[in-house]
Formats: sequence, C-alpha cells, structure tokens
Amino acid sequence: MISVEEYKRQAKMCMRCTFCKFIDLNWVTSLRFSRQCPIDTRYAFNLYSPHGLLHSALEELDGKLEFTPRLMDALYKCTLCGACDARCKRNLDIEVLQVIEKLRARCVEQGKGPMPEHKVIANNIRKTRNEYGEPHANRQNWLTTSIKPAPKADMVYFVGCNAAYRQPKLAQATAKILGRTGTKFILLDDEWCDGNLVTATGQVELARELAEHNVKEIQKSGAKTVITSSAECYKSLKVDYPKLLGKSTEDMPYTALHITEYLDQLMKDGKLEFKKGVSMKVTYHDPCNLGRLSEPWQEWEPNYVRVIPVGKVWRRGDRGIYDPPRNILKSISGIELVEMERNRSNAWCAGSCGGTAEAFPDFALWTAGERLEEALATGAEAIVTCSPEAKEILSRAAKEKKADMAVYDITEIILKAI
Amino acid sequence: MSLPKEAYKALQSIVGPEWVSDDPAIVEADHVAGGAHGETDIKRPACSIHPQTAEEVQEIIRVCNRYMLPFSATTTNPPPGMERENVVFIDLKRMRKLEIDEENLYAIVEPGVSFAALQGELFKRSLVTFVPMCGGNVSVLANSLNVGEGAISYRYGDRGYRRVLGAEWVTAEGEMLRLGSRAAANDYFWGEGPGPDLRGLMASANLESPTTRGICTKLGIRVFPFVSERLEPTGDAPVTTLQLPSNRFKYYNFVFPTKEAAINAIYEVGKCEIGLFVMTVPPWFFAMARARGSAEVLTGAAGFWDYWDNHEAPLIRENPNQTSCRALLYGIGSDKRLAYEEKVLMDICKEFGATFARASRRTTDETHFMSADAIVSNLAGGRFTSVILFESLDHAYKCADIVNTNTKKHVPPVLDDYGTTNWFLPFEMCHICKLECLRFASVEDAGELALLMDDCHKDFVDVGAYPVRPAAERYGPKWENYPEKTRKFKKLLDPNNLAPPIS
Repeated sequence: MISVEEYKRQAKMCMRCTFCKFIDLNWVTSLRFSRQCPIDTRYAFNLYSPHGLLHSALEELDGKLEFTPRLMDALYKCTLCGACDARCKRNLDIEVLQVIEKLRARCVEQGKGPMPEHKVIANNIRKTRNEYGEPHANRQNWLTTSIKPAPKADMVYFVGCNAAYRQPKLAQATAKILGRTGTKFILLDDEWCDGNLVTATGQVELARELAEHNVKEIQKSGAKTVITSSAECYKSLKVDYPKLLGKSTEDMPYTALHITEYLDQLMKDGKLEFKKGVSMKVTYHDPCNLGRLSEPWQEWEPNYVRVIPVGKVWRRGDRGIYDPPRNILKSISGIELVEMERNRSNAWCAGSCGGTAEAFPDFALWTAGERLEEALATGAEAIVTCSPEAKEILSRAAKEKKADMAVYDITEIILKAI
Repeated sequence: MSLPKEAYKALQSIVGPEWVSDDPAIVEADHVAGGAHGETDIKRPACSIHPQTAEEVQEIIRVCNRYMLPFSATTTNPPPGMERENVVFIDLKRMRKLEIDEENLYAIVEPGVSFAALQGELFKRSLVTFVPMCGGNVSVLANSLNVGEGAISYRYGDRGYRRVLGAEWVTAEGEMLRLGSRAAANDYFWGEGPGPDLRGLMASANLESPTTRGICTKLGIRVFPFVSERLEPTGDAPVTTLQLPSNRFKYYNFVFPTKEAAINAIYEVGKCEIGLFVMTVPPWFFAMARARGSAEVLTGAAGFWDYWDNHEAPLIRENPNQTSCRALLYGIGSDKRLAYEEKVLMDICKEFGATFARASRRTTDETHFMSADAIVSNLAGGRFTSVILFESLDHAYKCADIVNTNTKKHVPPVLDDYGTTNWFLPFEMCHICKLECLRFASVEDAGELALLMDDCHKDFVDVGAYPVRPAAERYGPKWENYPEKTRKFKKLLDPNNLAPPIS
C-alpha cells in the first residue's frame, strides 16, 4: 500500500481532465458505449467519478472533509474496476486506483468503513474462512467421486469460495478439464478465502492475514504453480498477495496461472486440441480482475527525477490476460466470437468487483445490465466470461431483463469441447 | 453557504431529489471539476443539480432568479464564476441526446455529448468532425462555442464556432431563445436564420469566460464528408491508434533547416490546397511520445531523460532553428488525388530544403481524429500553462519569441526546452494559425506560470497579438474597449447578474 506522501502526490497530480471517464478515445465507436466508469455513468455527480474521489482524498487528508455517508456511498459504489486507472495512464500516469484503495483503507482505519455488508463477510471469513459463513469443513464438498486430485503434484488448484460453495459446477468443470488434459493437481489442505473482497474494501489487516496463510499453505504443499479459474482469486494470488506482503510478483514462491493461460499454452505446445464442436455465436466479457487489474505487481520505492519517476514499472492495463480466453474460444469449432464495443482494457465492468455487488446490489445489477445490453447489441446468443462472480451477476441481469442471452463461464464451454 | 430551504425544494421538484444535492462531499467534488486542486480561489457551490432537458434548465434558472442565486453551468471544463458564494452548480452531462442529419451534413448535440462519441457515430456514416486538441472527451457543444479547433481545421475551417448552426439558448433570466433556422422550425441546419445573428454572444471565449450569459442546451454543428473505409482502432492503451486506409491517407514527417523555410513551405502547402493538416511538431512531443509509447516507459524517467538529454537536446543545441513538421495527405475522392498531393509535397520540400524523418515510435499519429493523446505532453506530477494565440503564421513566430523570452525570466524549468515547446497549427489553408506555447513547471512552481502568462500578455498588447481569453484590463483599451460593450450586453441579458462572467 502506498505511503501517505505518495498518496497525496498522486491525488494532487489530477487535473480533472476527465479522460478517466471514457474508454480509450481511439476505440470509441458510439455514443451509447463510449463511457467507462460505472459510478460516473449512473450517478453523474463529480463525487461519483475517479477525479472526484481523488479530490476527496486530498480534502479528507487535509481534514476538510469527513467520511460522510455520501462520500462513503460514492467510495464503496466504485467497483474498483480499474478502467479509470488504465485510461489515466494513457496520458498522465496517475495511480488512480491505488489512491481509491488507500482512501478505503483510511476509511476503515478511522472506524467508518467498510459498509455493513462487508463487515458481515469479514466476520464470516474470520469464523469460517469463507465469505458465506458456510462450514469450513464443507469447502471440498464440490468434489465428486470421478474427480481425484493427486496426492502430490507441482500444481495446486486454488478453488475459491464462490466455486467451492456457490457454483460447484465451475469447480468440477475446472478439475475435469485439468484431468482430461492429463494435468496432475493437488488441493490445498487448508485453503482459506483468497481475500479479494476484504482487500478491495480496505480491510487490510484481515487481507494480509489471509494472504499470509494461503501463501504458507502453498509453500507447504510444495507446488510451484497455482492454477485457478476464478479471475478474483487470480488477481489476489498474482497481485494482491505480493502487494500486501511488500514484495513483487516475481518474488513470490509460486507462479499464479489462470486456467485459460495454462490451456492456451498447451494449445500452443500442440498438447491440446478441442475435438468436439460447440455451435454458438458468443461474445466475451473481460473480467476486470483477469484483464486490466491482473498485471504483475512490482514494489517501488518512490524516486523522482525532475517530476518523472525513476525505476517504476507501470501497470497500465495493457498486459492483462486478454488473448488466452479468446484464443481458446476461437479454436473451438462452431464458435463464432464477436467482440463488444468495449473490450480488453476498455471493457465495461460487470458490477461484481470491489464489494459493490454485496453492498449495493441494485447498482451492481444496473452495471451488469449495461454490459448485457452491450452484449445483446453484438447479436451474440451467449456471453462467456472467466469469473464466477461475473457469471452470477450477468445471469441475474439477463433474467431480470428477460434477455435471450445465455451466460457461461469459459470452463463450461471448454468442458463441452474437450 | 446557505440556500433557502424553499429554493432547494423548488430545485428538487424540477429534477427529482436524486439529481440535486447540497451534501458537502458532492459540492466539494463539483467545485473543482475541470481544475487543479487548491490552485484557484473558488468556493464550494450551494448545491449541484443535474437537469436532463432544456425545460428543466429553464426552470432551474427561473428559480435562481426568484431567489437571486448565482449559477454556473458546465460539463467537463472548469465551471466559471465559482468565486462567488451560494452558486447553484448546474451540471449538464445528463443531457446526452445526439441526432445526425447525414444528407444535410449537420449534427444536433446536447451538452453531454463528447467529441469522441460524435466522431465515432460520424465515422459510421462516412462523415467527420474536427476534434479539439484538448481531447475528444470534451463536450461538443461547449467546445464549439469556445475555442473549438482541431488539427483538420486546416482543411475544414477555423474555430469551432464558425461551424455552429441553429441553437437553443436559455438566457440568464430563463427565456428560451431559438437561433438560426431553429427560430422558424424545429430545424438546426442554418446558423444565420431570420433576425439578428446572436451566436457571437454565446461564443465569446475570446473575450471573457465560456458559457456566458445563459446556457446553450442544444446546438446544430456542421459536419463534413469523409472516406467510407473504416478507420480501424488497434492496440491497447497507452499505445492505440486509428489505422487510416493507406490508399487515401499518408503521413509525412519532415525537417526544415530554418524556421523561415518551415513557414514559407507551410504557406506553400496551403496555397496548393493539399493536405488534411500540416503542423510543426515540438521535439518535446517526440520525447514524451517515445517515453510513453514504447518499452522505454518501463524504465520511467530513465527512458525519457536519456532520450531528451542525449538525443533530442544535443540536436536542438546544434541546430536551434531546425523545425520539424508533419503533414497528413488526403486523397479526397480517390487515390489518384493522394498521389498528386504527394508529388506536390515533394516539390515543396525540395524547394525549401526539407529532409524526411521517421515517424514517432508511438503509433498514435492518427489520434488527431480523436485527440486521444491530448495531454500526453503534460508531465504527471507537474503543472503546465498553455499560451494560445490565433495569428497569421508569420506573426505567430514573432509571438512565440515573446513567450520564449519571458519563459527564461519566469519559470524554473522542469527541463530546458530551448524554446521548442511552441506548436504551430495553421487553419483554413494557412489563412490563420493557432500558436500554442506549452510551458511546464513542478507543482511547487505553478505560481510562476501565472506570472509568465501575465508578462506575455503585457508584451502581446504591444505587438498586436490575438490571444485566447485575453486579460480584459490589458486588451480592452486597445480593442475598442470591448469589456465596456460586453457589460452592456450582460446587463441586457442578465439584469440580476447571476450568470458568469461576473460583472
């Protein structure tokens, strides 16, 4: 987490140019889908915008603004999708997201945040090691008799709370895919919640505790690679854990892989071919946590020469996991992949990130509805994603809008084809 | 700050309680919209309100007049008139309707429509507009009434307000004025229309602040025919581009041995009526583009300073008068036309001793159509000022020298730019030239930038320069005492003195 000095410096850099509110301008093709910040698009007040939050951060730091209910409303409705961060770094290179994250952490430090729903989840995690308060002993109940993790392997499958407790079919699909590609994997003896939500909501101490535990478990397992099919867990393992532990991604004792990265590599190595066709016109939704938020973390001690930072590795959102899921979909015969107007680092958030879905379900559903409308505009019959949370909320949006649009996690499609 | 309860209730009844707020966090964030933190003397507004229709805007202004509340309106730019207490901040970004008349070549925009959105919609119809250099994210309506120029103004016309057609304008008393052909029917195709042409009263950025004397809620603007081929967006930020069809467009970068040769060559390009634009390119832009647009960026300062200190600066010291230019040739109608333009450009470059240079590694030359790189030349963490003038091309060079001289006196520079951060963009086939002099400082030295501006204006008055938003007290006496005249208009249109500018 950035120092207070750096936090102030970054927030002060903002000149309210508003580039943060739009997708990369070269990619704008319509009025309808030109904007990128969900809170700005829905609420319009400047407080509900990246630059509004940056300014509030400075005012709060200077003691001129308190964490009022309205400020907290804006702060926690922000989905932390990182679109603003990627756009700002098109031109100005401000660490917008880090400032908003720090503002949330300050809100928690002062006893004001997070939102009540987030506190319930944190308590669930403290007691049962999962977000839902389900018995910890049931974490591996998703396993079926046909799925047999290896006793020992170089790869550990990190399941995540959602797939373990809410969408076991996704965990089963992942395990079956690994099995069918001949990949040996183990499960952690004691997997805890990855902590994506508690990290995002500014509950840094708990987040660090979870990171320390899971990293220790991974080390104990002897595995060098951690694979997951959850975009949220992927970001935790690859970005948040090193960040919370004061390290860089490359210094972690494991390599985090999303299942699409792994399968894409198998395809490139000629070790995987999809033999069954799936006849479907689909569009792909880039989950924020797998796309622009998933770039490796690199620790950096602030060092400036004539206002330009030295030795800093920028995370601009362009090095996220964008191609592997697309390569996989394109390689399955019968699948026609059509892109939404806002794709890759320009993708509109589905609304499930940052704790928004838990505290503000109506707004999160509106955000998902916007994404669904965009998917419908492509003429696709299904929307495919790589996040159990995104799948959940997009499915709800489709149901609410009575839209003729199926929603799949990519593992479900792969399982049909493999 | 105290807004009468009755006034607040009246505002709520117009837009609904969701779209008006006097919460400190809301008004705090609004009052700095479009500006930098803590650098200007502005006050929190009494409330923020978001109308969605012109009728709602009218109602809001009437409430302001009833309770004598000053108001200020904006979408993306700094709201003017925020020095006053109790301002009702009217944010127009929910007004986002857009219509395009393809046959008659005009678009009707509400304040919340951005240039990028309009351009995206126009491209689908083989039409184009010129997007201002400050960025495609800004409001079409507001910018067209303000400075409103873009790179391709070279071919399609000068300042934005010259393409303004019919308009809906809510005066500072809440009366709806319909200008141009809009006065006769629900039609925006014609700007002049019956009766006196009042557009200049809205479009007076050259004189005072934008959004003067009321609020424009709908505007017709001219658009122009364009190629039918798709301009393909490619790449991920920060390196994205719009790929232009190669049979119809071609970029050339070239370097002239002297400033004089560059001026004369640019004049010649205009005389021959070739190109979609031609402009000078400050070496600073090259350096920033290289630092941001390649792997060098990963090394942060090292990439930039290495390039600037070891490559660009020695070249400038060696040849201080050398001038880099860029032109985009355009095969209007056919690829034969492109071939013709190339031949003409080659002849001109030969005559004036130009050498051709490779394009920047950042593949964003094409962003002139969206101005996606608008502020890439700024330094994150620094501040900049932009001295903008509209001049004849040869006179613009004299004005640039004034800025260079004053820069040495005032600004502790982030880097010694050797006077190379001046940017010349000819419009209307070189009839007029925009000169933009960007100057950079650290946040701590930002105050020096204001002093620099002040000194430049002192000298500009003497040489008869035409800056954007000149200081009224300096230029008034030389310019027919225009502040006095505008005050008369102000009294007529805003008797309660509620709209900016404040008189």
